[in-house]
Amino acid sequence: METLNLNTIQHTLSLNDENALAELYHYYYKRLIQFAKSIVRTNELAEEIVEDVFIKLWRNRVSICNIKNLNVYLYIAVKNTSLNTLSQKARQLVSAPFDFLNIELENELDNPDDLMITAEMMQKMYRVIDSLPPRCKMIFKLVREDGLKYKEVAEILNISVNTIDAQIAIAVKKICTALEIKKPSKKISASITEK
Amino acid sequence: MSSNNFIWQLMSRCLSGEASAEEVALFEEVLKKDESLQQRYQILKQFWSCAHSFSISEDEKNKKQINTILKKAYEADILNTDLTKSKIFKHENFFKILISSAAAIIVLVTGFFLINKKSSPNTVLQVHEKNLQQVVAQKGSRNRTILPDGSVVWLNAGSSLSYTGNFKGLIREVYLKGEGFFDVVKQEGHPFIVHANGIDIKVLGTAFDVKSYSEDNTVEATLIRGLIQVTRQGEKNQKPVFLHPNEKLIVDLTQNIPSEKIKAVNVPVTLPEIKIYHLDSTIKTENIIETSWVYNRLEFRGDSFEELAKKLERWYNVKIIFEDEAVKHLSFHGSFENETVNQAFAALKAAVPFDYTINDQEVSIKTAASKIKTMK
Repeated sequence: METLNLNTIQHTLSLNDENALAELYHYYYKRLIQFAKSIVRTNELAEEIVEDVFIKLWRNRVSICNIKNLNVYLYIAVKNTSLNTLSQKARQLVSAPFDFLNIELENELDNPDDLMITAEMMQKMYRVIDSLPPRCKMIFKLVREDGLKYKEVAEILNISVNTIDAQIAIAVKKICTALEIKKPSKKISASITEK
Repeated sequence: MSSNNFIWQLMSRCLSGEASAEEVALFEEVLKKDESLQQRYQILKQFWSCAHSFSISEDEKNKKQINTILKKAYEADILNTDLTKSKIFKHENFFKILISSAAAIIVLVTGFFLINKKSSPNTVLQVHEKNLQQVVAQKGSRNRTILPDGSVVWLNAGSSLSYTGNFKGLIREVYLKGEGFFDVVKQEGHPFIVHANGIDIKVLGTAFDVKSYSEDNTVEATLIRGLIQVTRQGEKNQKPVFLHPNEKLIVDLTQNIPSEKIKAVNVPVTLPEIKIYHLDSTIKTENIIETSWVYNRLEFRGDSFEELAKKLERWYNVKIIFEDEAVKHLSFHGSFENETVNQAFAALKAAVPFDYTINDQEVSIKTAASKIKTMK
């Protein structure tokens, strides 16, 4: 998220700069298409949805500076457009949007060699993430891969920050447990309770 | 149990950058006491940092995609101006934001003659409102006018442009007879509409050229940049045709297909009588034939003498009479810039032999006598 100054982009967009739109699009389209795909499940639909969101964004560029957090706005716009697209399922989906959906993770690591992480560890971690409950997986993905803040994810998924906190902890715990050779010693929990 | 979960929350917050300074310090304390956890934390940290790998790609496909997005956005903008007037009025505040950046379009509406002879070029246009303004370019001359909104119009020989009032309304409307080149100032929410010989051309902010001489039976539009929407008058439910840069549109006014029929055959996107051609996009604006007249050049590319005569009549304000049929079918390539009538005909004759006599404003043309002899 750090590489893009959203305030500047918003400002230049409001001045009709088509390049600003291109910059924004290049930065976001992959993650947004993935996010849309987790709801609508097909690539084609997901691409259309993201296209739609950007068309609307461009058409409303005059008032784009009124958007407080463009990052969150884009995800929410994609979510809403996706849910609208699934008009028949929308009702069902609004109440439990991510409970029975396909959440795909970006398979990012091409060069595990330069890390202390072995390919085996990597596989282990992905297996754990894959086995997470859908909602937990979605939250984990948005925090880790999309680099969103807890608060932002909470806003996008319409759940509390505490839930995010707890869900991420569950994911991290499971991953750590999978990486573990020995069981975690009782010492740790003891040291915390002392606090 | 809850304390155990707290460790994982702490670790998660540290990984995702949500932890406070105190939490970070606390977690470091915990790690010092547990080497195994420390190791796994390091692994996770690396796993975390390699996650932001959404490459910011800018390949050809994405560039195309951006163009698609922009194109669709502009099309939607133009379609939205089809809102009823009352609806537009409600949103007037929104339209107060005027954007003066002007894109450029060229629309050429050209005619291929002869059908609509009924109305003479000098007929007063049907405009209901008072305060009618009219700009005329007589045959043999061209002129340039600035409209009340700052838009610039060039009128070709034998053309006229009418509009009402001072363009303060919701729509900027002009009525064109003949050919005009428009450079329209963009005003958000105030579409600019050119009514020309049976078609309406709607733009938001562009430069374009319309040629629709009433004696012609086709209307042509050529777009250089921007986007315009073309509709045939009197067909309410038709889908508009969009014209994109370097496209030329020809509407054949002789084919009158009722809209019900179009609906019945279910081909609403492109009306059959509207054809779109692609221009060579590498040519500079001033070298495009359709707009050459703006640069004071009369261009003709393989025109039959009959077609060329119409252009010459307007360009030089002369009357051309063909004394036999055969001579009408000669064809010519070329361009005139500063030539007089005499020089022009001498040049044409040098290229393709024919006989002519110039009498005041009248030119008589017939097949070359030498040619007739050889034929005999």
